[in-house]
Amino acid sequence: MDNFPNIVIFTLMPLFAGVLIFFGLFKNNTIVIRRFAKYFSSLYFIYAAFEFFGRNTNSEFGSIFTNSFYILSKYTGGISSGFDTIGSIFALLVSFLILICFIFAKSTINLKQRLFYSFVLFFESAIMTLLSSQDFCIFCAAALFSSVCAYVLIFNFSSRKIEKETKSYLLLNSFALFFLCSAFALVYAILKLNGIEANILNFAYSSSELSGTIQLILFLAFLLLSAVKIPFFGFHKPMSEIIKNSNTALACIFLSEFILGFFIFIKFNMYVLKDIFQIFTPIIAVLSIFNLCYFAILAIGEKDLKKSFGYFCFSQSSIAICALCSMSIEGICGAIFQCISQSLILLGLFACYCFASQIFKTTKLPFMGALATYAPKLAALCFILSLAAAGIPFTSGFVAKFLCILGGFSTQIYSQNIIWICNLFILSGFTLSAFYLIKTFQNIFFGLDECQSHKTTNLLRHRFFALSAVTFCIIILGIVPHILTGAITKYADMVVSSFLM
Amino acid sequence: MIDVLALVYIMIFIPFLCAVTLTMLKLTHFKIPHYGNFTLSLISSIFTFIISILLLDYTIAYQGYTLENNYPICIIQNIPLYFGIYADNLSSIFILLLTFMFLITNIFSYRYLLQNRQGFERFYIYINFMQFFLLCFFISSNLTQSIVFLMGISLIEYLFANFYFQKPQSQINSKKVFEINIFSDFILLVATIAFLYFSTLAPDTINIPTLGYNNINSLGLYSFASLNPVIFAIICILFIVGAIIKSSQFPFSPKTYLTSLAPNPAFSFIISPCVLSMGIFLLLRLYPILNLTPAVFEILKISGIITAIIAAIIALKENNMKNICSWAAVSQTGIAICALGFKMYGASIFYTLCAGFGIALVSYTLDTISYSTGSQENIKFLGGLREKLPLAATAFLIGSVSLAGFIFSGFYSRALILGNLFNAGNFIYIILLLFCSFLTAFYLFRTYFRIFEGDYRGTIEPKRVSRAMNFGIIILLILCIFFGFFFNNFAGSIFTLLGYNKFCASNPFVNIFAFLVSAAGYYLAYNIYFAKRLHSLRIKFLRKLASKHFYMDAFINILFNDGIIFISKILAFFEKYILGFIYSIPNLITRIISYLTVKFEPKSIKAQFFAIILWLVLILLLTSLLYFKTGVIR
Repeated sequence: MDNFPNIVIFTLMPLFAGVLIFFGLFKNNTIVIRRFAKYFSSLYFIYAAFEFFGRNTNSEFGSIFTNSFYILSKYTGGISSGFDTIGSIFALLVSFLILICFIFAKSTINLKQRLFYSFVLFFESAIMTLLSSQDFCIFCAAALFSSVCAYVLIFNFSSRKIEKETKSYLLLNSFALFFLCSAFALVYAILKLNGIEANILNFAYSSSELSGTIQLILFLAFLLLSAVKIPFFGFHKPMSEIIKNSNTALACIFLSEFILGFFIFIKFNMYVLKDIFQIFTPIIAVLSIFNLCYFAILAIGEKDLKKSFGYFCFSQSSIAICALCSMSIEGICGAIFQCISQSLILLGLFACYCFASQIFKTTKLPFMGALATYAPKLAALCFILSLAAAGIPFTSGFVAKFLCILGGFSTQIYSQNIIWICNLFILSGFTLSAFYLIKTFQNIFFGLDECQSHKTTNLLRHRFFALSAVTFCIIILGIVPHILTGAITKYADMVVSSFLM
Repeated sequence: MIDVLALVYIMIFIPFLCAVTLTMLKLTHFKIPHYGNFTLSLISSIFTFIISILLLDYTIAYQGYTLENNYPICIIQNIPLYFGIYADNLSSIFILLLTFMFLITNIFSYRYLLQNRQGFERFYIYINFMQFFLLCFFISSNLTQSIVFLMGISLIEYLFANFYFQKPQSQINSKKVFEINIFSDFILLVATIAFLYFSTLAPDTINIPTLGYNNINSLGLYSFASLNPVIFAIICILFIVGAIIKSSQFPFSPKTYLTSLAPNPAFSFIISPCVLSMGIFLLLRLYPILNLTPAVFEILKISGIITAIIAAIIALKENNMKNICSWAAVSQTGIAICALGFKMYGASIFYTLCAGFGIALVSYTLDTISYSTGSQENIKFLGGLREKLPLAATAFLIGSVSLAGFIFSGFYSRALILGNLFNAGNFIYIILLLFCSFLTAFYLFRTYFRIFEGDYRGTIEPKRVSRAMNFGIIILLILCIFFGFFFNNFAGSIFTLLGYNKFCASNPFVNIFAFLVSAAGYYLAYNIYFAKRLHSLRIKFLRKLASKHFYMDAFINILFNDGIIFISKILAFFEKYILGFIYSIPNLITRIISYLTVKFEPKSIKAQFFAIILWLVLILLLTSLLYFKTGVIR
């Protein structure tokens, strides 16, 4: 997408739709609001797919999303904008996640619909702006706006009021952002002083000319922001509480936050500030391997379904970071693929778990069981999603794990002994995740019959449709992964070649 | 002229189509009668069986020629993954065996499933998918394909183990089966990816179909030459560990008996040589790589012999027919793996096939007994069935005689292994194998005397076994008697067929001695359980070990369940209290600062001015520090 009007329309369209809802165009007619939001998101997703895929002159699978940093158009007044390869993939992914969440919201959000739909659309717009922005101010504003939207949504629509945790999350996000803003201000001043137009693109080109200290400050600011969003060990507490009290419709929030964190990490920490990244790589690699095993073990022992799912999410996120630290084409490719695959799988799994907890009216695992008899469709879909998360072939999870391990072996920066030790730890992380998935699945769908005392139901039609769509995407990505890997490889190649330079 | 390649593809996809059709029918709630499912599956099995015969005929007719075809499925980051066919002598034999067992399973299944009329469609869907995955595994042209389909087989094993998901024990067992399988799958996946990466580094090897078995020799040599020997050895060890877990070897032997709650025909299929010997087949395929590091074969020897003896000892204590069968199968697989450890390539395959037919015969016979006696599986509550079920008694006797190595197929295969060991001078292993034969003879005849001799101790009057089941048993019986003889007499051509030319004539002295050892086992069982002249030996220590499965269950529990939950509890404590405390520190600091600010609030304008100056000086100091550190602020 290298066309200025397109970018403006694309990024601001959800904001406009959100404003229409928020300022009462549809009054308080919940059905109209819901339908408008749903149809808008569907069209928006189709439009995004068309923009990123349909407009490609060379419509081969491998060449989708081949835009790079070099194809950027400028706004008037020196503000530039544009989606790069990874940005466009993530934009499409986020629009899909939000569409699915709107479908789930039909039976989940029963109060304050106007607020919910408008703020989710604001959030979407903020993310799109952040993904495409090449301007310091717009980037920071979009990041801050997305955090505020997330705060409002979590605060109002969680199953329990979690004021403290939501505030902590907003504070952590804001602290990281203000730190980043100050660092950006410094860079802005330096670029201006040297007569260079101050935008992210030029910052990317001339980052290596900045002094080590400034690069370090910038790196830490970005790292802090991504550590809060992904999240890393130490920053996970608020997010785990948020996930514990989330519902299906809010899944788009924490998954989009993870995607944003990953985007910031790969684009800024890894690509732009490559010199510092090389110094920090071993620490981040060790931290992510620790994250992987730590959260997987915690998830196995946790009795609360949603909280354990939160730990599982963090563990899965670490796989992508771990693969990035290999600094090889295969590793980066695997990390991006893992990020995409994981977002889809976790959305589906979280939805399944939420439906199960709705049926049982509790999130405590010991009070769940034998749902397979009463909800066979849900059991079947949850089983496929669990297998995909475990990494069974013909699902996207397998391809992602395959590439991540391959990346682990193909790294050139560590000695063979360290590579093997790391890979064995990653292997144990994968195995632990698989244990968690099968344990949870068995606990909910088999075991003692806890359904009798509750009003049981199978999947509603719209939920079944949404879950099937997610499952379909996961299987398609597992069978024909080169839909994405072609484009991702080119991006990974660009990142790795920057390291070699 | 028949296009064999097209036929092979048809053979592979027939079970898949059958499974998909049945699944679609189930999903669309399109009701078809029970025999509809059965008929569809039976037709699929007959077709695949016929094509597998044609394939074997083709490989025998064109000796030395391998049917090969590769079809690129997808490209994962420049690495093309192929779905391919590599039908050499080894895979043709295993495929014939597989399709045959599939046919027998189908014949047995209908009557069994009619008993409780539960999960008809599911059973046929699972079994057809399993057939598809197994066919793809045995015929795979490359290592990646093998691993992918191995994971598929693991999944179906889990589904079968959890077939009667209403039973709590079934749920617990299936979970363990899944855990063990996924553990081995990931080990194999890591080893495969490591080998894939290291073997395709050179520009000469990058275009070879990824890890194709036709090039495995050169890929292995290249990796061996370019890699650190320790790294290469680690890859080989990972392959071996993964394969021996797949074949239920020590200390993961309980995997097989954990699937015993699957439907009886499916369980017999799982413990048949098709599924249990997947690990052996994989090791045979990787033989050129493993051969480069001979030291790793010691793992196979030790693991194989330990498993063989331990499984036999556990079988002595078991009273459940299915468990006896599963431990017998594990024990026999252990001997085959031990033989592979001595690089007896042909002997190992021969033993796997012969023991496989014996196990299948014994297992399916016990299925008929279970069917006849209303699912009574405890041998303590059976007896005197020889007169009521004469065919079953004959079949079990022949199967036991063969497995114990008296006569028939089992004799030839055991003689081959013992002869080779004798020539190599490995007397310790000969003694251990003979001890294993003694135990095998003892527990099999114990089972025989318990089930077929004495008075009937059951509550339900045994009913007649259907003709279809008897037909299946008769076929297996014929194979069990004549397979070894046929193999031995045509050894020259068949060993050439398996790519092994060194058929070593067995030693008559060793054979006689082995016969006597097996006879001793039989005689002891006869005296204790039939003639009642002796009391069974009650070695407390051994009995305790056997009843606890040599603590293998406990080991698996600690490794996959209790150990992890224990660590999890410690981490949860850390998370709740220590991390919780750390999180509260900023809040604490803010409160303290707020308190101090209120307490020491500047009372006058002078004091406020002083505070501002102090802050400015601090900022100035920091900036100058930055300046002196970096030289210049750009």
